Parts: sequence; structure tokens; C-alpha cells
Amino acid sequence: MCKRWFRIPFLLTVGGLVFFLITAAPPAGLSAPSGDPPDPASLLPGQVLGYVPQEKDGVYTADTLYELLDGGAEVYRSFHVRRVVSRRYGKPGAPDILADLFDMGSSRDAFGAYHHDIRDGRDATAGVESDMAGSSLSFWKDRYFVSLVALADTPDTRRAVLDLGREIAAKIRGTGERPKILRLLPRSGLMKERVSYFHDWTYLNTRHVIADENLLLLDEETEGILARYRDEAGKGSRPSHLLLLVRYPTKERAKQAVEKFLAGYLPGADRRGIARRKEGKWAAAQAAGDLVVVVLDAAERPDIGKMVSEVRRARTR
Amino acid sequence: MNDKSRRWWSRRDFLRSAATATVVGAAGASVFCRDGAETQPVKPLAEMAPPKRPVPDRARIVLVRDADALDAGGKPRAEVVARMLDEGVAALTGESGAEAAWAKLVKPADTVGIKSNAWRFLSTTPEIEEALRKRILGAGVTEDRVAIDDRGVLGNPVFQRSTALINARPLRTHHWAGVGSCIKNYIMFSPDPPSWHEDACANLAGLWDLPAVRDKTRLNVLVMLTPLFHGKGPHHFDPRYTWNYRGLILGTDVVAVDATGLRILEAKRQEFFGEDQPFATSPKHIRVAEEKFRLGVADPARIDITRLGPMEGALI
Repeated sequence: MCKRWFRIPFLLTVGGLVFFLITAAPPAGLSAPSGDPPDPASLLPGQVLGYVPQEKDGVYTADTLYELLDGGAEVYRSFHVRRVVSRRYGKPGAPDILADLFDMGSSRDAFGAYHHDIRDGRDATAGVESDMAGSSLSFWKDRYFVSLVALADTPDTRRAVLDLGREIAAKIRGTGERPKILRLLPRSGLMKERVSYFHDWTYLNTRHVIADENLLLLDEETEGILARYRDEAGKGSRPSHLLLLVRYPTKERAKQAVEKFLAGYLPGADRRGIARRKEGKWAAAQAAGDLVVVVLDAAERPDIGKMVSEVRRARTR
Repeated sequence: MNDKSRRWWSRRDFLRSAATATVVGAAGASVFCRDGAETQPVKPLAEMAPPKRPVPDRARIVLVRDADALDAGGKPRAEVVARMLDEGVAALTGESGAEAAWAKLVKPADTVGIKSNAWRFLSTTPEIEEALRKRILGAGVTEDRVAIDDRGVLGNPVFQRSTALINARPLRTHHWAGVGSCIKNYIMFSPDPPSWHEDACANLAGLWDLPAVRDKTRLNVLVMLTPLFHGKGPHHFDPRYTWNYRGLILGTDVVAVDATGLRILEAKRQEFFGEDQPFATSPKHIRVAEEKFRLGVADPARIDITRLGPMEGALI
């Protein structure tokens, strides 16, 4: 009897704690700051190989980012950009170098901002992932996405951009994690340079046009990944299909989303959710718990069942 | 309509445009509409009344190239680009010399605005601007009635009372419009430039009917010295995707000028990527400029090109 009376407050406490954790945790799509961020400008070096700041730093927020970017601000806004510091470095007789440091608020959104572009350059060992080609270097680390570009490509600017990137990366203390949903992608045939992370449907449409409406019921509570695969399970070089994974807050939402997607995008789908589109390419969609698995742009009839099984297996690893 | 023209109007383009429009719309007035009451509303394509002016059967443009247009560092050589402009304008007007050609384009009584482009990664260049200014002064226009401007045109007194415009800017791919070229260069004459981003900037030719602009343009110069054929990164700029084309395209028909520049960009993308590489955003505003706004000729089959200088690697 006594034990039962003790058990009730214990259960209330545990229940309250669970409730608190659930309600306090940010939804999948929202940014989670990774500690107190330093002043972003403090992460940019004062000089590198004789290159020094040429003017006062530009500092931007999500609301003013369009002043810096002629046309691309919406991309970074869709990844919840917090602050951006832009610094122009220069030295006499050499092309200027532009350094933009984006505080994305979370490592998964830094990952998303970085993977907005195809990443087919070489690894510069700066940050968690980096992409260097010519005198352009991009990387992400912790909650930051960093873009460095020289106005002209010379051996000197290549060295300076590389040194600058590595110095910035060294100043960023944290590391950050890739979005967990990334682990669910089947590895065989995956073109790692062509992976996009997203939250909303308008951004997804800029990566692969699906529809002029939100068929997958994407919102701030969802997160997704779009990945390109090679044919012949990665042995060939030609792209084979796109795999789209979306995680929903509940199984019910995932089920609703797949039903809406099939009705709007694949109205002729069979009971396994597979259909050939008018343009001749195959597509398929199935729900898997709180996930929706979609195959797009496939040259051959996709084995959606196998893909769903692979995703489920990856989840248990 | 050729294959490339059809591609501009594919369902994919339509949907991508719709997505772009939605992104712009989702951004909300607080992001883009900075000028409050002065802003003009977004005009959906379907609501814009097409002008009744006739489109000419054919258009003529001049492509002029010079192997010495750039120095070893990729900077324009002032004397060479000035000569290219002179030769191009003379060929365009049918005159034997630059002075007579410019006398056809501007009169001493004109007030002339040179609309340039100041994008820090790829600008009209001071060399082109100065060459244009010099020739306009040489045509008898006094110094106080010539101005060069980009973002400040609406507040610039010379532009406010201008009777003639010279439109000069470089060619590049563009996040919202597919390509940024001479049609798009007049977006700064709008009090609310982002309102023209709707539907992949399809209505850009409507800018040319704004009172500050309408019927004033005497010459378009599409600067093809180092065009940008692909965008990457937050600024949509990477020097790897520029190349030394060393050319200028000149014309009085802005649509023909832009359509020709677009063909060169498409050819460069094909050459570089080894496959047909569609633009991330369809540059359909050039086709719409003819079909809806009747601003000029977009069909390459109806554009006559006068070629001056070496044509190796011209891509058209």
C-alpha cells in the first residue's frame, strides 16, 4: 500500500518530465541553437597572407539578407538563417576575396545551406564537410555555413582562400551533427554530392519540381532529404533515380501525406503506390511509420518495397 | 518555334516558375516591398495588358569581338573596348565612322542616362561606361546632361529629365530571371524591383513601358567580355563559371540582343557540362518580351547578326 502511494508522485514526476521534454523540444523543422553563439565577426581572421578587411563588415539578419544577396536570400531564410557577416578582404594588386559567414542556428540547417549547391569540388579539410574548386571554398561546421569566393581565380587567391577557410573553421569550437534523417538513405549508388536537405515545399520545388501545391504536407514540423542515385546500384555513372524521405511528427500525418501525394502526383498508382508518369519516368510512394518514402524520376519500375525495407533497417541500426 | 524555345515553356518550367513565385510571395511584403506606399503591386502575367505595337519582322544586331579586349588579368583594355564600341555602332547604324553613327543615336539637345550595372562581381565596367560617355559628349550633349547610374536612377536628376537612354550591362545567369541581360537592366526604374520577380520574372519587358523608360532607349550594349554562364554559392557567382568571350552585342532591339546572348550562354553550358543543362530558372522573360509585350524579336531565325572581329569560339 505504502509502495503504491510512493509510486503515484513518482509517476507524476516522470510523466511531467516527459511532458516537459516533449513540449520543450523544438519540432523537427525548427532550429536548436547549439549553445551561446559568439559574435560571428569574431570568427573571421583579421588578416591572411597579406589580405586584410577592405571595408566595414556587412551584418545581416533574415529580414535584411536580401540586401546582401541579389536573388538567393530565400534559400537561406528557408533554413532559418539567424545572422550573416560579410567581409571583403583585399591586398594591393590582387583580386578581392569575399567571406560570408552564415549563422544558421543549428548544425542541420548549416548542413542544409551547404548542400543547397552540388558539392563536387575537393575536400579542403575545413569544417565537417568542405568543397573547394578554384578560388571558391564552402564548408559547414557546428551552426555555421561559410562561403569564400575570390573575384578572380589566381594561385595566390587559392592559397589565401584555403588559409582563410581553415582559420575560420579552427575558430569555430563546436562540430555539429548531420541531420539524423541522412542516416536513413540507402548507401548503394548514393551520389553524395547531390543530397539536399529541406523543410518546406517551395524549397523542395527548387531542387526538383513536384507540383504547384504542397502535396507532401510539408511544414515547419517536417524535415526531408532528397538524394540522387546512380544506376546499377552505384556501379554505373548515369543518374538513375531520386529518393525523397520525409519525416513527420506522427504516423497519421505521414499517412495523410502519402495519400495526398498519390492522388495529386500519381493518380494512376497501383496498390503498391507505383505508376509511370506521362513523361515516361516511374515514380512511387509509400508510408513507413512516420516516414514517407518517395522515388522520383526513375528510368525503370522502382522496387519501392525494397527501398522501404532498407530505410526501416537503417532506422534500427 | 525551335526546340529550345519550346523548352522555355515546358510544364517543368511552369512549375519551377510557380515555385519561385511562391517563394517570393511567401517572403512577404516586409521582406521585399521596402518603399511602402510608393511600391507598385505585383502584376500577374494574365493581368498585364499587352501593348498594341507591332513586332518587326526581323531584327539586326552586331556582335563584335576582339582578341585583345582583355589584359592578362582579365581586365578590359580601355582603348580596345572603345574601338569595339565604335566599330559596332558604325555597323549598326550603317555609318562609316563612330562620330556619324553616334550623331544618329543622340542629338545635342538630348539629356542622356547611361544605365549601367554595378553588381560587384560582374559590372558593366568603367571602361565601357567611359567609352559611352565620351561618345555621347562627342555628339554634342553637354556634360551636365549626361549621367551614369544603376541603383540610383530614380533619384538621379539627369535620368529624371532624360530624353534618351543608353542601356549597357554584362550577361550572366540569374537566380530569379534565369539570365540577367539588357531587358532586366531596367528593373531599377521600378520603385519596387522585387515585385517583378513573380513567375520567373516573366513580365520584365513590362518595365520598358514605365514612363521613365518608354521609347527612350537609343542603344543596348550587352557586355560579353567575361559572361557568367552558371551560378553557384550564396552570391550566384564563381569565377570558374565565367569565360573570356571578349565580345559585345549591340542593337536597338533589346529582345534580339538578349535572345542572342542567351543562345551563347546555352551553347557555353552545353560545351562546359557536356550535356544540355537547363537553367535553374527558365529565362522565359525574353520570349515573353516578344510574344506578350511585343518589345522586339526573340526568334533567332528572325535575327540578322553582323559579325565583326574573330569569330572562333563565338558559339553562334
